[in-house]
Amino acid sequence: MQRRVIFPQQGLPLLLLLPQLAVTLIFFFWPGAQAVYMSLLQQDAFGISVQFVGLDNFRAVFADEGYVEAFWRTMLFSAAVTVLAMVPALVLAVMADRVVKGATAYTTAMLVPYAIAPAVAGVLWFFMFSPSIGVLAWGMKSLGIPWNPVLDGSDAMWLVILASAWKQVAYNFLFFLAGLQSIPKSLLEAAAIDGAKPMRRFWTIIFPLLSPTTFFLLVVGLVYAFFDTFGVISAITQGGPATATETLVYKVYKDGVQNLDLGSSAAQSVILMAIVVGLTVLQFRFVERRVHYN
Amino acid sequence: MNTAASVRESRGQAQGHGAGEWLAHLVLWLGIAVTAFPLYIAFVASTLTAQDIAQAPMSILPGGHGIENYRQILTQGLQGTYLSPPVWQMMWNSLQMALIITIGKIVVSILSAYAIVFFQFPGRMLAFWLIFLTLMLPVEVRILPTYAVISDLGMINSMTGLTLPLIASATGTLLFRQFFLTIPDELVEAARIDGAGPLRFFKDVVLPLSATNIAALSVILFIFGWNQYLWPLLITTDNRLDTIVVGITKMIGTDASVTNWAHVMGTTLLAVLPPALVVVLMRRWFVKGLVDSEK
Amino acid sequence: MTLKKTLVSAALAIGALTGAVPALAQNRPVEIQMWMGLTGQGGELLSRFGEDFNKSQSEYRVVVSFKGQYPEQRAAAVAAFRAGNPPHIMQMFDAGSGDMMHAKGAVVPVSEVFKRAGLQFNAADFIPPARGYYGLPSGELLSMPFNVSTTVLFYNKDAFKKAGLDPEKPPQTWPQLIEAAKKIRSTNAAACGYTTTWLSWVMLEQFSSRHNVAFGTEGNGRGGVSASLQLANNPLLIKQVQTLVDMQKDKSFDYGGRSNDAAAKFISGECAMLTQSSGGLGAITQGAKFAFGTSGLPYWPEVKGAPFATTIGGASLWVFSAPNRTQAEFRGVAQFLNFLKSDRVMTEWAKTTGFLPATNSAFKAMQDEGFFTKNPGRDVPILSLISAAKGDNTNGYRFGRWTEIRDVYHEEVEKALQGNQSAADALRNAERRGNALLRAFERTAS
Repeated sequence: MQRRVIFPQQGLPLLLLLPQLAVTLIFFFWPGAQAVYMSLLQQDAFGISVQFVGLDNFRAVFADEGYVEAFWRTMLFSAAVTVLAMVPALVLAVMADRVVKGATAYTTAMLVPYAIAPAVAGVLWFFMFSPSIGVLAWGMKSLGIPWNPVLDGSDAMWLVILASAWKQVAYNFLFFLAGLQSIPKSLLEAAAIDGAKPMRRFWTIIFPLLSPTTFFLLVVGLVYAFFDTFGVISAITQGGPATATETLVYKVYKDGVQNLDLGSSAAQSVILMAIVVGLTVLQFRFVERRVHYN
Repeated sequence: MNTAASVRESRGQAQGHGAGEWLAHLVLWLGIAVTAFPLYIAFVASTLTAQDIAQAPMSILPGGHGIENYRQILTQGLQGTYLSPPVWQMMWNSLQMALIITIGKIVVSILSAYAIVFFQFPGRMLAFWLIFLTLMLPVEVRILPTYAVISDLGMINSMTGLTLPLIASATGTLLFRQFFLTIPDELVEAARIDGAGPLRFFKDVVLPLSATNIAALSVILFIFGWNQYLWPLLITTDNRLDTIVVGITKMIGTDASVTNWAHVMGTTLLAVLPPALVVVLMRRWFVKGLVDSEK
Repeated sequence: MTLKKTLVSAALAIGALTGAVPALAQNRPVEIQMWMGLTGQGGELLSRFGEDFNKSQSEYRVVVSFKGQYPEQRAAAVAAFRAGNPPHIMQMFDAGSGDMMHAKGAVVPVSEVFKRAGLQFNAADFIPPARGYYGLPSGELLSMPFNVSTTVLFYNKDAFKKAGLDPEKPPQTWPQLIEAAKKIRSTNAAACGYTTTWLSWVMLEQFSSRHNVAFGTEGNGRGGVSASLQLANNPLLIKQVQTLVDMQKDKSFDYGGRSNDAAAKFISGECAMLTQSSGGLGAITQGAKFAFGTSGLPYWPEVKGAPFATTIGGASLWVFSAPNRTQAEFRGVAQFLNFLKSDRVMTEWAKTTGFLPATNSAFKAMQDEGFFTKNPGRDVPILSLISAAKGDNTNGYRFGRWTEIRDVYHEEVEKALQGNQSAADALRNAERRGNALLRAFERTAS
């Protein structure tokens, strides 16, 4: 995307870009390149014995059934978190847009989970749902609902999905509400005069006009589900039980930091980066075309 | 529904009457209940003793030990004097980190976004993608090499080492880029006709227009900086540099002792308080900044 | 002439400077960094020992930091080492020993550290199981045992009474434990009969030692890096996993997680029995609102000669080497380690925490002052280590990448507990995946 009217200078923009490019090169691309290089090596934890093994680490990763499972698990997890974080947010934003009294108070109250670190959100939900000391776990037990995220994989998965989505609803809510409030009321009235019912007005006017917001939230939401949820999983389940909540990013951490298998972890990082880059490029190419900028 | 009724309904909704209104309130209250519940439970836990909580289930009404718990963790830290600094010190570390990252990232990214949007130069798209790519790899996956770089530069155990690598990613640049793309061409043309150069234009037109965006981004970045977890854990060996989020996670799931949940929950609430305050107090500019960026 | 003069004066200046620098340095105490992974009571006490050492002399200053749980701490140490700046001393848990032992060049054996500092160091000071675990065939000690623990059984005396069991007669064998757990469930004296912390440590490592059964070749890996796991054709191990699976069905056993979390289930009264590290005593004393007792790790009576000795757990102290470490720093390390192994420190350590006295003299001192008679049950762990029968397979293990392999074991057993695979398959998969990791480790360790 490029504006039609721009400034002619050539040197100035490069100067303006310099700080960001410098920091990015030193602290992102340089270590990133080293991480890529590490993916081609097999070494012991301390870096004392180092061997170049080419693509062996990648071959091992793809051959690992645990990795393939983690891949599909991450797709499922990300979809669930994104949907569970966006749909309630949209509903709540529509509701908040409708009320006249107290809209500010509602918005303020809804925003708080956004301020909470993912790891801390994980701790809060773990505390409520822990089978031994959790208040809600005890409530479920007394209602006869079997609940054991320590042993049951899908219970554990639900727990991390809910904790992750809970945190993100606030963020999506805010952006949706802002988007809704920027839609001119006259537009909706005109449609009403033309005889459009509320649902029709929503789908033909509101939703398309929300598309820049939705697109932005999808991109951010994907990155969130892929990466930031690491804190949630690390705090609650550590990828267990029996790898039920081991997402791709958690596996990178577990193999690299905990098990000190640096070659495999680096290879996984490279693959992960490729996936996310690919998905984002796709989004930009195909979805942004349909986004209505003014 | 006939036309007149439809209009009445849409007007009615705008004026806050009708069935839609009370349903909206109901849904919103439900949303708030779900949002607030975990924090309420944390608050209750912070007013009980550790034994109360260990003897599950704990009460859902607050107890009477709140003041002594908070005093203990604020002045002495979790688990006694030697293992963690007092919580106020951890909060101070978090504050420094959050502020440095916020200001650093805003300055760096607003300049970059301006360069990418308002100019055309060779390598423009390359620069954009290079910067944008940094969104794809958070620090968790490049941690060991970044550590080596920081160590080579002698920045271990320093606030600089804590903050500099986190300024490297492109969140702000993307947001400003989206916003700058929506600035009307007429404004730019007017400035050029007046003979204003790009820097004048930036200072006189773009910056004021971006004020609410900057406010919004400040909130986002403050929270991002405050909530950092894995990087601070690795980069500091001196406990006194611990941030509060790191402090909390160090105390859960401990080795041979059982967590003092009353203290942990109290610390959790204290950890949530400043960023929550920032969000609440800056909410107006936060929302406004986003609303303006949609136009 | 001028050039030569310049060079000579430069050389003199440099000589003077480098001579002066140590003189300057002597005014400030040499700083020694020690990283530990203990929290709670143990961590506090260890930090206080650091402070005590600093107060007792002015040449060195020890800084004890908590860097997170053992995995995070180890990752931080590795990162620090690769950046050329590891801590001087690091507390590494038992499972990490294999990785450390094969990191030639990264660590300096502790015997060597003492020798270079001119201090006396006799490996025989330490209790035999610790010596065997952390030592080389030559008798040298690679790391210094410090917080030594072993597995014990804690049981809830009040729950026992409620179930009609004798609170002074804890179960000694697995059949006895199963019976007690079922009785507790049927009388509903507790919501669950038995749970365990540290699944792999208790059910694989300690369990095998208790029955003198090998779970790997070459002396459980002590013979070299080409050793392998032997889990699949191991009827006793399969039987144990099957027992847990069966007991899980009616909550006579309830799984509590891979590491320490299950302790909360015991302390809250939910589960009436707990196998745990003896170092977990402090938390139980602080948190439990019921009378409890201690006993040794149960065994299967049909195994000939059982019960054998259990092995040590806990952690030991490793000394890192780094290119810029000075002699003075190594001397400081030796002095501090010497301080830590003194009788005074060791006895206070063992008496306060649930960890064991790691030196023979400390153990004897505690016996002499009647500590064990005044505190019945406190000698259970050390007797389990020292007095029970020895065998070929009671000396512990030495495998690289053991934390990873433990997790493999955890994952497979969890699947069995969920009912998704048989006990035999669980162990077969664990062996297959574990051996793949061992072969990869072998490539990097040679």
